[in-house]
Amino acid sequence: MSRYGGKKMLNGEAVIEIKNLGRVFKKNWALRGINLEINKGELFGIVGPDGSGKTTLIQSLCAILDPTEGSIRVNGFDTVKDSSKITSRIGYMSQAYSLYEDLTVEENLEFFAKVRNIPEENFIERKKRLLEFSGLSPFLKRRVRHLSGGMQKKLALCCNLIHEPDLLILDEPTLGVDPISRRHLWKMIAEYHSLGKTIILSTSYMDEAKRCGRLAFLLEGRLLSCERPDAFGKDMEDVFIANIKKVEWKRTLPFPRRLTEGDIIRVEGLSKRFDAFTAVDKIGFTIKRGEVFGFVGPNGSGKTTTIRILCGIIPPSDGQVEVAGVDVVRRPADVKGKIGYMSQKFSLYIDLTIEENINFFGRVYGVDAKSLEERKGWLLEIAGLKGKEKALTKEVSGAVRQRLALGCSLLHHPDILFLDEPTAGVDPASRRAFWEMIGLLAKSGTTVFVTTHYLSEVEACSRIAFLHQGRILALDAPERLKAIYNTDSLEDIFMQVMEGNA
Amino acid sequence: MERLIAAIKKEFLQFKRDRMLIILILWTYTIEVVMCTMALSFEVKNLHMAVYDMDRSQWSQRLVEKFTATEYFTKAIYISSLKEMDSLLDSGKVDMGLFIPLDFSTAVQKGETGDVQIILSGTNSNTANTVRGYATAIIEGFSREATKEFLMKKGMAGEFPEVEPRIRVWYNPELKFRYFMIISMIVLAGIMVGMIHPAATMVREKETGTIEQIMLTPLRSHEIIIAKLLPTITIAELSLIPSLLIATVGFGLPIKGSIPLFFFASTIFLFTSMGMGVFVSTLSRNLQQALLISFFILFPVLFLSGTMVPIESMPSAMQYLSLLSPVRYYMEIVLGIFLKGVGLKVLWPKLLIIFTFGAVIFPLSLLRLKRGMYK
Amino acid sequence: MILSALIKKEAKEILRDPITLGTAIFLPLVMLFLFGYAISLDVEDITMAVYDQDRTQESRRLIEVFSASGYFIPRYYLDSTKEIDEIMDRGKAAIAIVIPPDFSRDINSFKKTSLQIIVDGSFSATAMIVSSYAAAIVNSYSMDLMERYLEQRGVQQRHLVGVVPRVWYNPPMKSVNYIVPGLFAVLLMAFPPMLTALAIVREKERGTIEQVYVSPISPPVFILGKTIPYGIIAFGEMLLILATGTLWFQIPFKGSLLLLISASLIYVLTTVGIGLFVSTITRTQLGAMLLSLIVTLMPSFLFSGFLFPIATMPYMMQLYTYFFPARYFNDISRDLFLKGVGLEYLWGNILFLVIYAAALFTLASMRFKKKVA
Repeated sequence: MSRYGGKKMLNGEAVIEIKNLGRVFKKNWALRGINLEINKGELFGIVGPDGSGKTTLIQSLCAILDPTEGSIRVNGFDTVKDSSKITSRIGYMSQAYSLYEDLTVEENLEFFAKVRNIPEENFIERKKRLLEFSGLSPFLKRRVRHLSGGMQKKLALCCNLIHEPDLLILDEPTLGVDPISRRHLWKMIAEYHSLGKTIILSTSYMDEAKRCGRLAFLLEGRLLSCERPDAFGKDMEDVFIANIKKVEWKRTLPFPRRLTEGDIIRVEGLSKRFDAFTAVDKIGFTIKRGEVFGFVGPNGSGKTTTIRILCGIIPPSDGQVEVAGVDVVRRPADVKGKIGYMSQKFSLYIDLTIEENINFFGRVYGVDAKSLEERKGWLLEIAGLKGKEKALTKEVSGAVRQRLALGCSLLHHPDILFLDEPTAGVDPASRRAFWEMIGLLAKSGTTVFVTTHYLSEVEACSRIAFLHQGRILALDAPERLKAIYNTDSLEDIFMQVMEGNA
Repeated sequence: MERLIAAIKKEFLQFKRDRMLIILILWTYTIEVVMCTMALSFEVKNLHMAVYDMDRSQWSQRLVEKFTATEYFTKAIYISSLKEMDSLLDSGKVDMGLFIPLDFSTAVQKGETGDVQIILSGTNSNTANTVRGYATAIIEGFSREATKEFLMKKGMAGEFPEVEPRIRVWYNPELKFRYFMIISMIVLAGIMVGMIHPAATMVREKETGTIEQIMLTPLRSHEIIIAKLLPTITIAELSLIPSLLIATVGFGLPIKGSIPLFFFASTIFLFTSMGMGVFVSTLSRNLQQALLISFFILFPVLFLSGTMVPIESMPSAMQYLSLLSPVRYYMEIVLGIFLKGVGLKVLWPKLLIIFTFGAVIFPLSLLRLKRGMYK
Repeated sequence: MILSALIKKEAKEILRDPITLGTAIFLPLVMLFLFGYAISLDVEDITMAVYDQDRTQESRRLIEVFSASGYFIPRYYLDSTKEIDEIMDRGKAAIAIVIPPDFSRDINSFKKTSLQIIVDGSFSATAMIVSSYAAAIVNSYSMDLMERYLEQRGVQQRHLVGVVPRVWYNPPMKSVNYIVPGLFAVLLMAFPPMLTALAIVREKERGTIEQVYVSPISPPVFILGKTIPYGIIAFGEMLLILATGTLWFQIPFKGSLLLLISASLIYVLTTVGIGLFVSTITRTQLGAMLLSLIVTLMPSFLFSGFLFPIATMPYMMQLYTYFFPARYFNDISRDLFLKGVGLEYLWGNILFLVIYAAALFTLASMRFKKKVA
């Protein structure tokens, strides 16, 4: 039921006409030979692996990137000649940051409204609706800097709906957002669509792709196909993956096997307070060697804080933490060589080449020359970077960097690997490959502690902990959780657990 | 050890790729030095004067010639009204005015004192002070001559008592300002690069998030800092070579002392500057802040060092404050090495002071760095 | 309407960044106080070393004359030339005088004698002043001597030529009166350009600029939205310095306040305009900062005529100074403070600044395209 109370409109009229679009960046064709038409009122999805040209296409549609060849017409206006006529009528949510972090929620909305010349009365009314709708009303006076990722995206969407554009273009709108917020965002998008608006979005989530009217599949800058989701067949993800270069890699890791007996992490009564705010509230758990332990929870639930405490980066306020036999509270420095860490930002040095990054991390962790050579070779292969070692890290796509970052965190064969949202924003194929790798690692005795939003992935974990507002609400193996909550969907369990705690 | 080498290698690689920074550093040490030395000077030469001579006698003529005979005054413009004087002074076309009254030569011939006026434009009190000094000296010299002549004519023979000031300028006999200037510029380059470069590279790790990653490696904090500072010190020391060449070969700066000592002293100075830079980075969240804070600290430190304004001309409170500026000591050391030819025996106390500053700041920064990880 | 929203947003962001704001307010004040108190180019308490080879009443009187002047403090009494070397080498005294052994004998028999004055030439600016002060003291001592001599002979003869110095414009010759007007030019060129450039480049780096591209904000409006807030800050800085300068340092101001404020406004536009232009050339924050530094801060400090006189620069360098707005504003500012001249005199410089600002803004507008690449 639409709160806007509009009528559903479907029209075969083309809102966007793309003719032979091509765009080159320094000898690299990001897009080539794209021919596409998008009709009014469609919910149109753009999918494809990382680096396939999704963002380039979207920016071209918004008239903020001119084509090298071909043309695009939006509502009859050419993107090169009449760009201002286009930009004044669309809403665009970029993948990059689009809000002003020192301003509050209210101030951001006000700004976007004023920029679009929305008269005061309309603004007040729409603002109220949007805030309620997105659940942001209680945070009106909070600065964007202090909002979670999910809330920021919701706000960004609201800022782009404030002028009620007929055409809304979204670049991976739910990227890196927790499941609850993701659902909200989709609700908002779907509702807006039901008003007859045209919405174009790119995504790497399969379930979102399935909700679109039609999908354009991009691969290496070319349009592979453009159909309705069901035309792709039953298991779309498989189809997806089948079309992408298979990531071949050795099934054996260049590491010696390890014991898989005994506990490796022991946490008791762990709490962390930042002034008046309690980030982590008396949590405790034990992790065995060789486990793949999943930490799930919305942003702000304390996942990142917990990982940081376990790694010895920040000290806890209370509690005991033992990692790989090291009392992390008292001797945090001792844990350094035994753990590997991959943060959400895939912290590699972008101005170094791939090879230089590998060499650096290897040597800094004291890996001897021979082992380093072996492991480097392995890493380059699984990342599909053989032959490209001398490329600058900033030139490689996000998915490749993710694999590289994972590899670099492993070079010294740590006892435990801490991964903080490692698959955020990466296409399904890469995600699958990644989890296969984690499975292999676990089998060889490396313990993996991972936080993630993607509930489909935590199926692969030995045990999962649901974290909310600093407390662990549930902790068990996936099968047992499914039995307890009587459902096969982890996402439902997540919802229930969260709502149960609210 | 291995890991320190790996860290050092990484820092050099990153440095190598930052072309803009390298160009800027080299520019500061070379082109900027040349431009400033050529352009800037506190000397006052090539002065023009406006002469309003109401007397028009041989005496007044002689007086004016005394001026133009010196190297300071090159031109004398004769005018015929005070208004003209006004506009010439106003527009800056003349630096001084000389007013010789009507009865000047009459008075002098009678043996009475004839006063002449020198008119200065106070818009530039630096130069005005100096111009006044020169003019006064010239006129006094003329007066002595005239008085002697007069007395001799009256029959007084012999010598007249006089204490002649024999001025010897040591270390820089021609008082070439550019020696001072070029050394100041090299010192300035040193502290700027030494302070801002480490601050920038350390803050950059904060901004990109790699700082977490690096703090998790077995690298200790002091190893991280050492690795970061090596590129800075390398390029700063290497840049001294072209600067030295420009100074000595290009501008004729004498080298009376030991060049190895110069490099040694510069290394200690850089050590302290880098310490200041690292400290600044622990205070800043991003590059903009790092730069602003650096300037906030740099300005007083430079100012109080005597490079812009002589320390002796500051009120005593400031003179005491200037003892806190490492640049002051470094200036004295470098001037000492090049112009005075002194060695370690004389300079060691100053070196020690500079080193102490650094030795205090580094541990402070390390402390802050370790704590700074805990957000 | 859009413009006011842009300005409001920028203002909020600036206010919420305490370090930037703090520096913008305090650094000019720090500079003002340092320059205001330090610069007088009138030295005092210069440490002097004395090697008195005579050690008589006369020689002591001579030393007294030096210390009575207030300029010199005889701190070291030496016994050999070697000690002079040491003292000068170590930089402990800026000047040393050597009184010859027959000094009082010569003086009392009215013969000619000399005084060796050794000056440390390494700090050349000081050396010039020190040597001229020392020479002046000796000269006036000589004059007294001459007059005593003549009196003894019964001749009343004063010196024939007297010097009467008159100072027009800035009669008290306080250096601060001269420095502060010039300081305006420097301070307004110090941070506003860099901050403006950074503000724009930061949006590019973060990506928020894409939202700007996809909005009805036109390039001129965007530019104004960035420059006006920083222009206001710059202007505020100027008023702060003006107030502190006139009220605290009591610098006389002879000209028209209105004229100063209008000229300052135009100058602020040029400085902010430079920042704007820099932002269209670089993509990174580091680049913006470094470029701003080279193009604004250093030249305005060194080449605007603020501290170092332009007239003594080589011809090529003098031409170079014409490129910098700071030079023009420096002249305007000084003239207004010290001479009180009017528009008919200043219009040339003002016109130049107006053209400069207009050119910068136009260029920037043209270069600013609402495209990602």
